[in-house]
Order: sequence, then C-alpha cells, then structure tokens
Amino acid sequence: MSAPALVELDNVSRWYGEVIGVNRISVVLRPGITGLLGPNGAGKSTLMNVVAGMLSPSSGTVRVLGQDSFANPAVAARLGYCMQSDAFYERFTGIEFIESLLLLRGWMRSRARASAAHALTLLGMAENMDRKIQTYSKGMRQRTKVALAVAHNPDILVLDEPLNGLDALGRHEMVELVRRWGAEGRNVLISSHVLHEIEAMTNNILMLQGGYLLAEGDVREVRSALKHHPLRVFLRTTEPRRAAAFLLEQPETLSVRVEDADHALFLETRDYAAFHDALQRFVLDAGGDVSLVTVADENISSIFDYLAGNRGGNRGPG
Amino acid sequence: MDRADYGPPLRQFLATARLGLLRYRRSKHLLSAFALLWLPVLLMAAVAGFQMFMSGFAFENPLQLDRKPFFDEAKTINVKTALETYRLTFQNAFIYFSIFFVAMIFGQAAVREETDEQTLHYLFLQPVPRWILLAGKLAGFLCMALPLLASSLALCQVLALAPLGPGAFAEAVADHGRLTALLQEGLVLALALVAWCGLFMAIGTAIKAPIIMFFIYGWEVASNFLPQMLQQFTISFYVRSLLPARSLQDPGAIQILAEPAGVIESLLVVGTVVAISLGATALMVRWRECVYSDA
Repeated sequence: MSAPALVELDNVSRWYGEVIGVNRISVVLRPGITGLLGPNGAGKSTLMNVVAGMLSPSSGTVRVLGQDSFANPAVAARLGYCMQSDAFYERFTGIEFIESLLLLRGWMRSRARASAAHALTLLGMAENMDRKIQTYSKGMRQRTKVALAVAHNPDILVLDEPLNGLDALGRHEMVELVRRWGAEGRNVLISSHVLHEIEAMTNNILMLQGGYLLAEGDVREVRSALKHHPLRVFLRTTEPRRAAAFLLEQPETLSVRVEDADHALFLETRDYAAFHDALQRFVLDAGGDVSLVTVADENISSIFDYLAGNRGGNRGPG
Repeated sequence: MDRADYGPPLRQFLATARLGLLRYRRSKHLLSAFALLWLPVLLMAAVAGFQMFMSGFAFENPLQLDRKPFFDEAKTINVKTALETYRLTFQNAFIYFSIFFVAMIFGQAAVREETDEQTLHYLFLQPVPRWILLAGKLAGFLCMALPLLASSLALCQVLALAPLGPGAFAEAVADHGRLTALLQEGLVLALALVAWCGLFMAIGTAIKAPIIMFFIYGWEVASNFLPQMLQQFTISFYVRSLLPARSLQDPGAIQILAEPAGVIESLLVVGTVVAISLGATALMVRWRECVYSDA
C-alpha cells in the first residue's frame, strides 16, 4: 500500500462571503520544498490556512497525510505552521511562550523546555530567549514564530511569508535554514511574493493569482515565460541623458524616462539579460558611470498580471 | 497516521489551565478581578469603621470616665447583629455584584479575546481537542479567582466581627458555626462563579455585543422585585438557596424573596446550567475557524 500524499487538494474553494479566497484548486504537493508564489491578495494565506486546518474549505477536499486537516488533532501533531499574524503572548519570554504551547501537546516539562530552547537557538535567538516578547524587534518576533513552528519537529512545515520583517542578513539565514531543512528531507510549503527569494530555496513552485492556481512546476519555466515580460528598471547615474541615449539604441529597450534632478532614469526593457549586457557595454566601453541599478517592480504583482494575461494557467471560468 | 506525538488528555488539560493562569496573572484582568472581588472587603471595612465610631471607640470623650458610646443604639451591636451585617454584604456585594461581573469579564473574553488579539491559532494549532482547551481555560480562571475570593470572604468575616473584639470570633465559631458556614459560603460562591462564567463563555463565543450580559444582570437583580415564581428563572435564586442561611429576606425591604429551593434541586439546576453552557461553547468552538478580521 502506497503512503498517502503529503498534501492533496481536490477542487478546493474557499470564499469569505462574496469574496474569493481560493477557487477550484487541485494540486498534490511533492515531498521537499514547495514555494507558494503570488502577489498580495492572491490567496496564499487562505490556501495555507486551509492546509493547516485553520479554515474549512467552502467546497472540495483537503487531505494532509491522508486525513482531513480541519480541526484535526492528529494532523496538528505532525504539522508546523508559521502564520502571518504578528500577535503573541506579549508578556511571556520567548522560551516561555514556546514551552507553554508545547506543553499543550501533553509533553513533559523537561522535553518541552529543551525543544523550545533548541528551536530558538536554531533560529539565532539563544541570547534573547529569556527576554519578554514585547521587547522583541520585528525580526526577532518573526524568528520566534518560525521557532514555534519547528519546535515539535513536524513532518510538514507551512511557513507564510517567513522572510517578512527580516533584514538582509536575517533573510539570508532564513533562506539557508529552509534549504537545509529541504536537504534533510523535510517537507516545507513556503510562501512569498518575491520570486528570487523563492527561487533561492526551491525550483518547485505554485503560483497563485486572484485565488486561482496560475501555474505549478519548475521555476525555470516561469523564468522563461518572464523573458519577454516588460520589466521596469531604475538607474542612478551622473549622466542620465547620455545613459538614456545609449540604452535607447538597444532594440530590447521599450521606453526611457530621465529624471535630471535626481541623476536617475527609469527604463522599460523586454529582455532583462540583454539590457544587462548593454549596461555593461555602457560602463566598460563607453565609460559611463552607474552607481545603482534596481528592478523597480520587484513586487511580483506585475509579473503575475503579465502571466495571467498571456498564459492563463490553471485558471477556471469567471 | 503512524505517529501521534502528544500526551494524555489530562496532561493537556492541566497544561491548558496552567497557560490560562499564566496569561490571566499577567493581564489587565487580574486587576479587574482583584478590584471586583475585594470590593466587599472595602465595604465591610467601611461598615466596621462606622460601627466602631458609633460605639464610641473613635471619638470617646476623654472627660467621661464611664466612656459611654456616642450613640445609644451602638450598644445593641453584638455578634448576631454583626453577622447580619456580614450576611447583607455577602448577599448584595458578592452574589449580586462581584461574582457576577468577574465571571462576566472572564467568561465573555475566554474565546473572544483570543480572536481579537489574534492568538487563537496558537491554541488551535496544537493537537488538543477543543473542549479540553475550553475546560482548561475555565480551570485556569478558577485557579486565579478562587484564592482572591477566599481571602476576600475571610477578611469580610473578620471585619464584620472586628468592632466587637477577639471574643466575638470565638462566639461566632462556637455558637453560630461560622467556620462551617464560611466554608459552605465559599463553595457556593465558587459554584456561582463557574455557572456564570460558563454562561458568559457561551454567550461571548456566540456573539460579540456585551449588551446582552447587562440584560442578564438586570434580570437577575430586577427579578427580586417581581412575583416569586419569576425569581426561579434566575441563577442567583438557586445560588441563594444553597447558602447556610437559606432565607435571606431582609426585614423592611420592599422585595419579597421567594422561598428557597431544595439543596438537591438547586445543585441540579446550577449543574445543568454549567453543563449546557459548556457543552454549547464546546460545540461552537469545535467547528470554529480561525479567521481574524484584518486577515
């Protein structure tokens, strides 16, 4: 007899009154790390809440490790969930918070304490675990939430935007941690609205938009689809007009807007790789001076709009 | 499922009660509970002070060698009248005020507050049957409230007899069986606390508007002035019926209290209220989703 799928959603919909949370989603999660990608309001949190048993689907079935997930203690025993909500028992210390919740599992106190301390140490909170949560920074609160989710060594880890609120170093550490969990054979469902963050952790992604499953599979396919997506880029240079003239000659450049006062220009390109090559030529060959290059629409919303308009994915009617 | 890594329900219940107690002890509610449950002590202290003043202890005339009390009426204060004063305070301050409002604050907040503070999911994500979470919360509340209640009750008794001196305590215990009565009063108040807390837990879980709680309070108080038959539709009627001094009719009062119900009947009614309330709350919570308003 084969083992049940980790997570299996069959035609799952969830509405909040008239508002669609997720609609007609059918997917089977593969072992390992799965990235859940989508702009704000895409339905990522709703999907995760349904998987974690916090919400009951309006229609369809959700099976986690072969069982209905909603309000099911047997599923809760094997699943760790880091919700997006930033609420805590503020007057508890970090270790007290996690220990108290682990004790609800009926664990002995020594085991709960040790597991809480281990999880907090893993998340880089060893020095702060005895401080009250109300004194924690946003990043420390985020780490504490993730520590709670992993403290009981779950079979499935569901992390809803765990990189939010972390600084660059914190993000890097969290990405490394998730990758390590994946390498250790853990199953992680992790959400983000930033493509490159997900890409750093896994190639296996689900893309949601407007409550619909837009695409699933390898992130490289998405990259390929993005190749001709117009991308807005911001450049800071001492010679914005000369840079604009140079880059406008390139066939992939769609438009350029110069901001003389700020020594900056906004550019729209249909091929980021070709733009990058052109920029290198401007700096190296033409002696141009560029101090900053950044993608102006890193928020993935525009990419989803593009994909939804051009590909359709698993989109249902309506 | 091949791995169920969680302990027995009793341990889960105790852990939930502990968590509830820890949270209550560190919340603003502790202050509310303290203020409400110790309000009768303040009242009793005021009454005792007034009685001492009336007896001439406070403002005796130093030129008067016989030290007569300031008012002649004060001479009539004895253990029996002191206990009557205590009984009135007990009935009006504890039953109709402190217990009711403490139970209301905690009962209605038990589930509602977790939703408002967006911490409900921490409980729901644990492999604990939800009725255990509920029962544990109630137990945590009682662990916090009962020591406050017991100390308040004992102090009220002491203050009631204080103006009469230390001999009054011995007389109250020997001739009036006050120790047993005090214990019985404490148990009845604890039962009232559970009954009202359970009721408000159910109401607070079902609806957000606290106004209905005040309607219930109004009914509990106003029914004393209504025909005796209607008084049987209040929790306070059965709570009063369980007290050692079963007739609490205040001479000269405009209300006519109904004859108390039997002890068994009273216990059955209060027990039924608790069972129905907690059962209804458990059913509501069993299928409750974890949705926050701004999520």
